[in-house]
Amino acid sequence: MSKDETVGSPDIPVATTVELFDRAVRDHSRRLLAIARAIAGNRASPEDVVQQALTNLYQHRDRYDWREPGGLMRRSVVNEALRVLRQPKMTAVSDEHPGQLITPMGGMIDRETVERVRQAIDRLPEHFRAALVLCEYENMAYSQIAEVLGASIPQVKTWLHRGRRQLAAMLEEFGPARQMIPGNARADRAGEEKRH
Amino acid sequence: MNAIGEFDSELLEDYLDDALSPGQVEHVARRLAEEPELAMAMHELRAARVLRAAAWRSLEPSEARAAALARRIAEVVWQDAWRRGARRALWASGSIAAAAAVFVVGWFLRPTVSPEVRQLSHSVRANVQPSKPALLSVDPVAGYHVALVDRNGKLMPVQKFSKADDARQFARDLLQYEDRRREAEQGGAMLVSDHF
Repeated sequence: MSKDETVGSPDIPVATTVELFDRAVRDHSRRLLAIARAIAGNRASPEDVVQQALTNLYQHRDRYDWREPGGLMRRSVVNEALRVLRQPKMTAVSDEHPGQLITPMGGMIDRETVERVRQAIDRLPEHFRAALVLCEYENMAYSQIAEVLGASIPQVKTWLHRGRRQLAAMLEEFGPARQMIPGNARADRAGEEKRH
Repeated sequence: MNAIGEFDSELLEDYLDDALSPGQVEHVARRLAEEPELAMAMHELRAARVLRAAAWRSLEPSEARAAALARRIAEVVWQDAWRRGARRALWASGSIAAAAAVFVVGWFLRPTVSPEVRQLSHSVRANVQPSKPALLSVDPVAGYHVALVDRNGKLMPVQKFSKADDARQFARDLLQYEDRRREAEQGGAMLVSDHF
């Protein structure tokens, strides 16, 4: 690995491409794994997906600017996850079970509920899943999602809308979403009692 | 959620995705304040997002798992770099070996100077001056040879003549030329012709 492959401008300390790549992998690996898991589900190991995506990037590292690698790595992982899903033979991989999660609404969502939502997400078509994770987890704009997924903005909006509707339909049997969040459910019950 | 139409549902999702213009945001905010059904739908959409956010976060691996992946990728990258380096070294050593082989083959196939000529060259060199570049030798069998030696005494091509006079003249001319060249190098004038 040559140390003379450098990038940088006069006002930015010069670091080698390899150093920047290493740093980018360390900084982004957690979120990239989550994206890979969201898209590939249990049909591929998220580690394998991320590793393949990033080593592909490393092979052509001189083509990219490694000072802002987030979008590049995200795009690569999404594409790799979608590619893996298109492969005919895949073995299911075991998954970690989530524990209880504290939500921004102040409630504790139990593991079972999260698992139900995850299963519902997993049943969505792959492009719906990819669009959703990029929009809601990565907070990307429609235009950015369209670029990553190689689609038009209206197409992305359609995927997102349909994905959300399908999720709502899949989770309908468990009641309204607001009642699946403990804090909200308590507030709803208190409101009901007040009205009576 | 069922109380509002598709268009409004999409509008609220766009609102939550920050995909509306400031004017549209204002319009939606006004409607939310005025239309309880729309506000309820918005509440449900927000709750569904909270559930999905919990699902996305549950996909995030532990720090240790992410760090293990980063190490795994770094290892793959270094192995790749090592392999590339080894390939380069192999290529370089192969080139050196090929060059050496060519040299050895060339050495054995080089035109040989007959022992008589070599012996005569040595004797003339000793008799004349060691630094003279042209040496006269006589091979009574194959004709008359002028063996050229450079300043370091290395034997250079041998010029063959059928007549002894031609060989002598050639050697004289060469010696004369060499003397003049040396004088010119030492700052003297160089005669370009003997005929005035």
